[in-house]
Amino acid sequence: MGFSIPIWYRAVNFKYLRSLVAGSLKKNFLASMKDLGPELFSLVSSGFSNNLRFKLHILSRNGEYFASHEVPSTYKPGSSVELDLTKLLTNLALPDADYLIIAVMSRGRMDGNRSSPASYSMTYIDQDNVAIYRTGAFARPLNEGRLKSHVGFTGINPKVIVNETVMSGLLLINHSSDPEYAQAAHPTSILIREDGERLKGDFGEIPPLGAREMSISDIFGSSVFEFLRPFNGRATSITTCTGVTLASLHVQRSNDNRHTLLGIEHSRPAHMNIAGILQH
Amino acid sequence: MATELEIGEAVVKGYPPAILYLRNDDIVTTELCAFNYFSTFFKGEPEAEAHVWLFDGNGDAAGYFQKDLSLDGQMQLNTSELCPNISGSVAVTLLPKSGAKIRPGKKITTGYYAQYYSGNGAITLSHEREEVTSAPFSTPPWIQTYLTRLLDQSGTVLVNACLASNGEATGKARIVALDGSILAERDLPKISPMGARRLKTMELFPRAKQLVGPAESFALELSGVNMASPFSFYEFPNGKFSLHHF
Repeated sequence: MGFSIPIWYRAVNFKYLRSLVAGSLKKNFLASMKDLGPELFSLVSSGFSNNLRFKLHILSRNGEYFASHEVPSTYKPGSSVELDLTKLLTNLALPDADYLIIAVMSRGRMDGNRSSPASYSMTYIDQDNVAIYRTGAFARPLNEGRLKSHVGFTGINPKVIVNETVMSGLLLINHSSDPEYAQAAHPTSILIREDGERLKGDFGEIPPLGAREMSISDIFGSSVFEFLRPFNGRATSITTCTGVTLASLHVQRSNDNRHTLLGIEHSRPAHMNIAGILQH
Repeated sequence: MATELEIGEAVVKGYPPAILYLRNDDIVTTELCAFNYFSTFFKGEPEAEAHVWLFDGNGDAAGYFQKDLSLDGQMQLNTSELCPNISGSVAVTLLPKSGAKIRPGKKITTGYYAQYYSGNGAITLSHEREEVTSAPFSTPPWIQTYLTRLLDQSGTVLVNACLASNGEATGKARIVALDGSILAERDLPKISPMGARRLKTMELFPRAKQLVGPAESFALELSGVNMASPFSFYEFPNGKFSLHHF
């Protein structure tokens, strides 16, 4: 796992402060202070340092906490942190298994981006393949009722492949900025092929702070092969869950006993693409 | 049936296409995947049209495709059937067929994905990147780590997202140690508007191995004008190709 801090990153500048104030004026003042207070306190207590610190928390896929690891350095703009997570898990005496790792930075960007100043970079290496993946960190309340309520989650994946060699899947994470978060998520999915015919499926329960990966055949049953055969094995899945927000990853795996990770990418929030449209 | 749309018209309409890398050759083919998400988020049964513009590495138009997308319509487009042996850039717009007024000052970009199929069954994925623009723009420094043990296989892909005739992409590449110290710097090769280049790390920095030394990782930093956010890639002798944006 790597993270490179862009050379332009500053903990605070005029544009950033202007954006923070503008954002707060649009919201309830008390809610803004609850939201931004920890960030502003951290900013002042660090002496407005541009350096960042990193800490990792290791959880099971069921959301059970195992261990934490603080990266023993601070990182300035232009530098990079790079960690071999497999070695880290070994050093922590954790057995070979699938985990969730929550990477916490000492500061994010609380302005309009509400994200990290760059992306985390993951490189998944196995005997058969190398798959790379990048995503930004969240710098905003997630599934934290006192700060933010969510209408729900909708994840669209038009890259579904089900055939003799490839099996698509979805990995959903029931994440939260609240360490005491205790709400399980129960998403449902539909699979739509090009002629509009669809199948419905139950994604299953995702424990709080946990994650669940389901292949398309796990969700919709083995008949999905026949269902999609006339369409070259291609389809779109739409997964929804009311009242929570979920992190959503699309995975392509080899359809054999090894289930090699071929490709991985996160969902794009499609509703953001229509936010500027006036509906009648 | 949708009529042909010029890419510049899409920008003027407020629906600038979003750009991605296009690679169709003996090793990699590119498939574009999109869903009519207006049918999920809009009232009624909104229809949409997909427009796809393909360019070669020099930014010359290499193909165009359009498709009507009905309620829950989708597109999985194998671009190698349209443009075999063409690598460069691709831009896609999803346009609602009617009734979509844009809020003042807003633009509507398109969400879609590419799947890059390569040797030995490998697939690598990318969501869309930045919008195509009609005016030159600056590209801030983007930096990304790579594994030194894969240095020989590593590189970057740069895509010019500017339509303007004076929108040549230029810039600098730096190879950077993890502590932020700059090991070497050089000018990037120029890229024509809407063109793209795939550059190996060793092609950019022939002394990269000596410069990086025993460190397990290094970073590339890329900046300039008219470049969308770069992609990193690893390409292996067996034909497997893995790519992701910085």
